[in-house]
Amino acid sequence: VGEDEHCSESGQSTPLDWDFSIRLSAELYPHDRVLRACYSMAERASFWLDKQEGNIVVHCRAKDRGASRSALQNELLDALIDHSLRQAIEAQTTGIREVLVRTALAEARSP
Amino acid sequence: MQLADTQAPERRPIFEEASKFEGARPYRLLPFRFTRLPGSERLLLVSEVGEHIFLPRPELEALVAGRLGPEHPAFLDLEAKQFLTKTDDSAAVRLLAAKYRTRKSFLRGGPSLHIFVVTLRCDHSCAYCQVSRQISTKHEFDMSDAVARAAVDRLFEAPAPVLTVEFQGGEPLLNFERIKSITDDVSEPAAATRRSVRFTIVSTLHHLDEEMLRFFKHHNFHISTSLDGPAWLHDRNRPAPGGAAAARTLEGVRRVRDALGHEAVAALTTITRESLAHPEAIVDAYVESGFSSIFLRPMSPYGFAVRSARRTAYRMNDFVEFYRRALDHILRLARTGVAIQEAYASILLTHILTPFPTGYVDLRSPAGAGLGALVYNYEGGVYASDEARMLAEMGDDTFRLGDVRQRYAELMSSPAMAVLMNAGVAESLPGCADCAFLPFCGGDPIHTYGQQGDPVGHRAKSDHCRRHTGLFQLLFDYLADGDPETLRILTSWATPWSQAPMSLQ
Repeated sequence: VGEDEHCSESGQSTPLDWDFSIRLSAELYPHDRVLRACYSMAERASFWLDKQEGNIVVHCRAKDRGASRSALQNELLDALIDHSLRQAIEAQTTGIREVLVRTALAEARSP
Repeated sequence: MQLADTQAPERRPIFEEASKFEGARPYRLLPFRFTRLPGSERLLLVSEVGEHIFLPRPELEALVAGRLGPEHPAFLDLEAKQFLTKTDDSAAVRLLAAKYRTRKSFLRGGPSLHIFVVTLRCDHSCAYCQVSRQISTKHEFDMSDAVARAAVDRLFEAPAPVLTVEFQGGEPLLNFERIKSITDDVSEPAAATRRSVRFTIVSTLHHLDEEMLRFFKHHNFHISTSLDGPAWLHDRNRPAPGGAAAARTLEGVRRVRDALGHEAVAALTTITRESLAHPEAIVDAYVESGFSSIFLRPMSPYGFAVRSARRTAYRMNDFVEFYRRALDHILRLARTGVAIQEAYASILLTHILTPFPTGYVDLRSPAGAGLGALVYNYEGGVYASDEARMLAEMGDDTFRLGDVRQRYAELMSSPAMAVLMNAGVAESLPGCADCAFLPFCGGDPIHTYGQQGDPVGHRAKSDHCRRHTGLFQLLFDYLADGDPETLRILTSWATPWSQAPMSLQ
């Protein structure tokens, strides 16, 4: 994403100057997982999410203005990969988790 | 704006769809979470019921993709700890459910910790005091007999078979007559209904006399006091009339040990900004005073601590660094045969290394406030926790369940409990739901509300989250490192000793 491209599809400007932006395939990185990755880094950075031609664009700005931009980029990419992996785990185990909790709490009702 | 990174690194799917492997997988995954540990090549995997294993990243990806072969060295461990199953789901779920039920067994029986605030009077003037103390001659801040009797009635309406009755203040010994009447009113019906009761008191011990000691011995009290480290630091943190606060507390400790036994008294340390530079000296002061345990507690954002925050507050990251140094020192001492442990690490390690919950009500999901503990204030208010009472003293009644004259069922179905239930299940909280430490931790909606004005809050702004993430990372660093002597020491701390309900105030 170039410097002149931090506008949303609707043409509204984003509210800050961003340190960097990345464009993600919405097919590979579901919106929910991108949000979770951004949430996990919210202590260190501010984010603005946008949509462009079917992609999710993540704009990022470090809260500590002295922070390393490359370290922040690496952290965001790691977080995105981690949350994608978590999604793969959840997809295989969500049903079991629900049965597990229901079974355990049903047992807890018995004497 | 500086430029922009470009596209995401890869176009192809990172992890194949689960359906692609149906029928071909040699195993099925069971629920777990994972996290990176700073400075480690290996990831920490934690199962839904709290089993853990360390695994390099490629092996985790192979595990999730169904490609980890049974010949892999970690495969048997993953199977034994139920990260995967080769057998049918129903057997695995039954076994996991039994473990889950054990880990959540604190849910049975309702509130078992009942805190009686018998007076707000106190003669100390600690800058970090969480309570709205009153001067020691204002008897209108004492709990009346009528309030005490109604509170005891509520206590027996709660169904818990094991009860802890904790006396707090102010300085509770300034209203010793009320402590006596409540203890007597609880002891007899408890015996008649075959309920087990443990009595505890949180006191400076400055007002201790022989009659009190005889009473405490008769009822097998456990005594908790505050000692902030070396005398110079304690006396600065906890000014008392006549000075020498540390010496007078230590004299009280000696008398309790003589009368009730050495282990009948424990102490906790509130860490002030001034304490941060002296972790080793604080631990050494505990060793010199004959304590086998120290509890390092950060300041809480309540009561007088709010007013003095500008000169006493510090960042939670500074506390975690302080804690790391203190724990390093404790482990060094332990390796030389000095028997001292850190009480909070002991609780966390019990959560990590055993299948059991502890009696510690502030680290549970659903939250222990209200479900695990009730606080009866001197004036008759019933609160979900001590922090809820402190908020009320600051003018915010959000977590006031009601009055001691209301029935238990009414208190437990109060709007305040509804707020706690909505915000107190960590499994459904943003950030917590993805956290690998979740099975050992818990949300703290009242603390979060006190800090952020919202019981759910944002993890990025949460001191509760910063503190516990930092502490869990530290402990797992030790466990991952695998030094046999360190593991022996930490494992010895992880015992179900702490299953009796407690507040660690």
